[in-house]
Parts: sequence; C-alpha cells; structure tokens
Amino acid sequence: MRKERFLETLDEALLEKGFVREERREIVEDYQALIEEALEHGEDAEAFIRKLGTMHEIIKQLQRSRQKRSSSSEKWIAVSPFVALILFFILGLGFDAWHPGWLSFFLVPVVAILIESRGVEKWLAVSPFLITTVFMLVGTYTGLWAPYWSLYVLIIAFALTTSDNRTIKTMSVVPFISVALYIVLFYTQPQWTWWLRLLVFLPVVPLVFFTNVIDVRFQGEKVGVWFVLKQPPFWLGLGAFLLTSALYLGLVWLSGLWHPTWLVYLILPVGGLLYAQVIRKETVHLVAYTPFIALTIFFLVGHFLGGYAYSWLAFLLIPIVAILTNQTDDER
Amino acid sequence: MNSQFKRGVLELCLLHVLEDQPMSTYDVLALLSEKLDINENTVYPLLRRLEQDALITHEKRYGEMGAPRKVYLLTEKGRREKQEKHTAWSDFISRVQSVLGGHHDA
Repeated sequence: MRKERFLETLDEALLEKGFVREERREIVEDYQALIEEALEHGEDAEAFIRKLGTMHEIIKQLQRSRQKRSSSSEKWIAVSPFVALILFFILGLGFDAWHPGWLSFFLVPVVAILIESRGVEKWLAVSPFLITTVFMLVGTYTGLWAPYWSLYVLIIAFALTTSDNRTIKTMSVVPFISVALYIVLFYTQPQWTWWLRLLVFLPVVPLVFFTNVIDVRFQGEKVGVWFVLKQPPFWLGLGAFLLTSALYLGLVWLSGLWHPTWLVYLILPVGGLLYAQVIRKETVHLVAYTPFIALTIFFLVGHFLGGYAYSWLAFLLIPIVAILTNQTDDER
Repeated sequence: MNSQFKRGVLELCLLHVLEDQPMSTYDVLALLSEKLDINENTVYPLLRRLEQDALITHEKRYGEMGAPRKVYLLTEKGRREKQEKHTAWSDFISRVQSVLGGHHDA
C-alpha cells in the first residue's frame, strides 16, 4: 500500500471507530512522520507499511491503548444510572415532579460523553441533552415553549464548530445570530405572523449540509452517529434543498399549514444520513435516525392531537433504540 | 509468549530506552524490533498510552532537513515507574531462576 493511501485508510478507519478529530489528526500525522523517517533511513515505504501490520491490527492496538486510558473513569459512568434513578425518585416522590424529573436520566449519556469524548465533539454530543433540559424546564414552568424551542437550532452551530474547515467553523455564529434574532423578534414584534419570524432561520438551513460527523458513545460502545455526516456534493445538497422547499411550499399551499409542515425539511438531515449509509457505505447506526423520527412524532401528536403534554414521550425513543440496538451490537 | 506478559515487558523496555535518550517512534521501533520479537504495530499505541499516563512526554526536534521530528522522553513520574517496574521485573526473574535452578538441581 502506498503512503498516501495508507494514511487515508487509517484516517477513515479511525473515524469509523469513533476517534475524535484531534486524535485522528495526531495519529495520522505521527504515522506520516514515522513513514517519512523510515524513508530517510533508506527503507522502502511499501515494505515498511507492511511491517506495521494490517490496518485491523493497528486500529485494534490503538483502541486498546485508548480503552486503558478511560478505565479510571468507568466508575463514574457506571454509577450515573443509579444517581439518575435516585434523583428521578426524589423529584417524583418528594416534589411530584415526575415530569420534568425524567430529565435526570439525561445524566447517564451526558456523564458518559463528558468523560469519554474530547474536544469540540464533546459539546456537540451533549448539546441535544442540555438544550432539551433547558427547553423542558423553561416550557414546563413558564409555558414559554415558544420562542425557546429555537434553542435546538444551536445544535447546528455546535456541529459546525467540529469542522476542519475554518470558513465552515466561522459559520457557526449564524445559528446563534438567527436564534437571538428570533427571540428578540418574538418579544418586540408580536404583531408579526409567526411564519414571518421563522424566516430568520433560512440562512441556517443550507448550513446543515456542512455539519460534521459526530459519534455518540455509551459506556465505550458506539451507539450512533448524531446529526448529519460528511457533506454530500454541493449540487446534490442544493438540489435537495430546492426540491424540499418546493415540496414544503406545495404542501403549505394545499393544507394552509405552515406548521408543522416545516417538518418536511427533516428530509434533508435524514437524506444526509441515508447518503452516508447507502452511497458512501459508512456505518450509520439506527439511533442516528431516531431524533428526527421523535421530533416528527412530537410535533404531529402535539399539534394535531393537542398533546404536547405527553408527546415529549416520543423523545424516549432515542435512548430505547440506543439500548436495544447496543445490546444487539454486543451480542454480535 | 503470552501477549499480556509481552506487553508488560515491552512497556518496561520502552521506559528503559527512553531514559537514556529522547527517541522518535522510528528509533524506538528500530531498536526494539532488532532486539526483541515484537509486533511493530504495538509500539506507537503504547507510546501514546504512556504519554496519556504522563509517564513520557514529547518534544519537537528540528533537524537540518525535513519536518521537525517528534521525540519522546521520560518524565519524572515515568522515571519512578520505570524504577518500580525494573525492580519488580528483576525480583520476578530471580524468583523464576531460583525455581528453574532448583528444579534443575533436583
């Protein structure tokens, strides 16, 4: 195998096994330096690469060295479900706050992510849990579901910060500006039709296609890839965006409902996942699709059946699928 | 030889060679693979783990040509760890020798 191909394969294999960006870059750079030094000593690149062993063996060794590092943190991860359960019962029995007391279960994935992930990926991975917690607490106790649902848009900002590309990284300010503008307009321009205020999110939509890969791990096991994987070709992204917009406007014209018709835009991130899975042959865990399914159920049940009080249960689909499919992976 | 056992020995050897002088991954690999029957793919991950455990650290060395080279060197913690491992290893070997020697004599 040639040096460039070896380094490329190594990076892909590390990505596949859930190594975060900083780790991947460091490892690939170190292997590049190692091969270059071998060349300086008159060794043949391909022969030297063969000597390093198969890619499978290299990754296995790197994973082993990684697992050893996290072993001291395992007790915190192991104890978190018990802490969450105790907290849940204290809130439920002591304060009759079963809802939103169930949010205490977020402690389990959040602790695992904070301990096992590093760098900016860590904040992207915990952001859905933190935002949901804030959203539920504010919504439950103040009734301000709007405008604070818009905080979810910030997940896109966190996703953009994980990009290697400086321009894309800089774009992460756009969702922050849109959310801030939406909240300001909500209070200062109450006479505006609600969909007019939503226009502030238009610049965010195409950015979804520049978000990066994020692995979500639970007790060291990969339980899914959240958010959108690598960007598809630009023309494909633009085409999909235009087609979805045409579909959206068509459905709005037929039904007269701007909300929750906007859910059709979820075709874009789901399409991104399908693209990664089918075209790029990347591993996409079933859990990756569940936030979008849960969000759709949440709004459809909430809007058409007037059941926002219980439609939040749809979000439990995410940990349930994660646990069930994680067991399947373990049995493999 | 048992791979777990071999890994433990390799760790001691790595700490030992880095105590003498800072070395690059290539230098370590060349030295150890010449003297020991090791898997080349185990050295770099082990160096990473030792660095994560703060037993070794690295610095960039600038040569006359080419990119700066990353060389690893022992930390104070690594020096203590190496000493402990070395003592434990010497003790273990002398006990094994006494068993083998005793068995041979009998």
